[in-house]
Amino acid sequence: MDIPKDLRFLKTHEWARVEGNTVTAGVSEYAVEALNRDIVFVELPGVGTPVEQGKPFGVIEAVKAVYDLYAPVSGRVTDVNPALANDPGIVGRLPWTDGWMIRIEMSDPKELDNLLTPEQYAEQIASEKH
Amino acid sequence: MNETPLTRWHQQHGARMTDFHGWLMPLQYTSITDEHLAVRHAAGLFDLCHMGRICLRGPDAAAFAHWMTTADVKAMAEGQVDYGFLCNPRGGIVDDITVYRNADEVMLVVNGANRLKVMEWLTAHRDGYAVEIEDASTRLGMIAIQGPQAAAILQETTRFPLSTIRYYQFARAEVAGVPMLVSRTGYTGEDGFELYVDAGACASVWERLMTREKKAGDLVAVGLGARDTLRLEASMPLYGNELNDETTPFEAGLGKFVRMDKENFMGRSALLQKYNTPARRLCCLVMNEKAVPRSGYKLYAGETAIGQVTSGTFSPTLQQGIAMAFVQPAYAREGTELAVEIRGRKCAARVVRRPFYSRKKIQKP
Repeated sequence: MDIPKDLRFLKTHEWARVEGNTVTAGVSEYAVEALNRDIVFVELPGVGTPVEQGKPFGVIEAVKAVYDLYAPVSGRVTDVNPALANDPGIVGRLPWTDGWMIRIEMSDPKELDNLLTPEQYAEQIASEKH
Repeated sequence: MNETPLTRWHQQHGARMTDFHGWLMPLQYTSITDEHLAVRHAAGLFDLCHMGRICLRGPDAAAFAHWMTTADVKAMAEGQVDYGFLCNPRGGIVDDITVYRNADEVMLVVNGANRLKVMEWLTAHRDGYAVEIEDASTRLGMIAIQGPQAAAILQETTRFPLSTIRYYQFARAEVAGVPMLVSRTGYTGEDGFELYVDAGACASVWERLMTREKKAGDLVAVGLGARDTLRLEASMPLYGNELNDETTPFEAGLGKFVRMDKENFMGRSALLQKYNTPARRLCCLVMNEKAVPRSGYKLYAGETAIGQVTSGTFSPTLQQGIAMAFVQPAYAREGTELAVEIRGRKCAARVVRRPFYSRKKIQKP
């Protein structure tokens, strides 16, 4: 699995792409592999909802299991991926790109320092596999 | 951890393994959805060696099974299979089982999780019967082949005319060069067979079936994940979820498998008092909105809590959330609008006729 170099990560496998003051969030390919890409439903907050770094903002459901999604940064939701309502499988197929979930207007850019670099995230995955 | 004769095969073929009541079993090989749909559209192969196989032998084998189970064992013909229950004196379900009537023995196939409990239960009640009770689970392996293509695929490996085995019948036959008991039964809602093979020959039969010359959309190995979603779509109960020692077959909507007309059996007098007035009923629910009900979620009629989900999943065939749940009898009627509380939100659901999914019926003898 190639980990995109322009992303930052939570230990809980959410990724963050930072563009100015906006952060796009999704889940990593490692996470969707762990769900065997059997993703049937994604529950996301509405535009305007406040989110907090490290706290649940939504839910991802596989056929037989359900997992919380954690916000990589604090702020307010400005966009929700409209495609996921009809085809949540996109998250399983293209987790790094078309499977993005929400965009957040960041309230505290210093929080970015709490996120893992691609190298640190790769190390964490390697340790989880053992 | 117990291993089956096929554990190594599963590991070598990339299965994600899980601890299922002390057995190291395949949860899935590729994906639950793919394996599930393969069984609905073609065929799947299941390792069921973790199930319990208990053989009763001796002059009173049939009489003992007749007393201990809800099946009318004395009336069963040789080669017949019956689904039924071991009940306790309160009418609660000790286990749900299939009963195989042989000339010289009766075999009970019991849930893997209940194998030791059932052995103890049978042993505790054998006094006065000339019966030998053998836990044959390690001597005898168990493999299932299920799906619309199951019969055609299995027929490639045997000269025995499988079409002569009708639904809920079994025969002794040589399959893949190995003598075995071939039963037209299953837990998926599809046509198919369960094979009882000497444990030592299990792996070679499995290999033979999996390495046939393949056509597109052919046989795939299926793990316990899809086994659960398949049985739930067919609204078949799972012991521990829908059934337990305090639940009667009538509450679970399975009264037709209790032969109340046979003279007597363990639990009958309690069931006679209860069967017309169950305190709650098992019902089938589909979600009216995009949401997935799960075991333990609460059910509401308006603001009133009326029960809870025993099994729930996203249905790969129906593409919606489905569940089985116990509710007060007044709310179990088809068409009743209910709500399932999912993460604090009440999501609309309705009661539907069981099963959620049924294939075109094959004729029962």
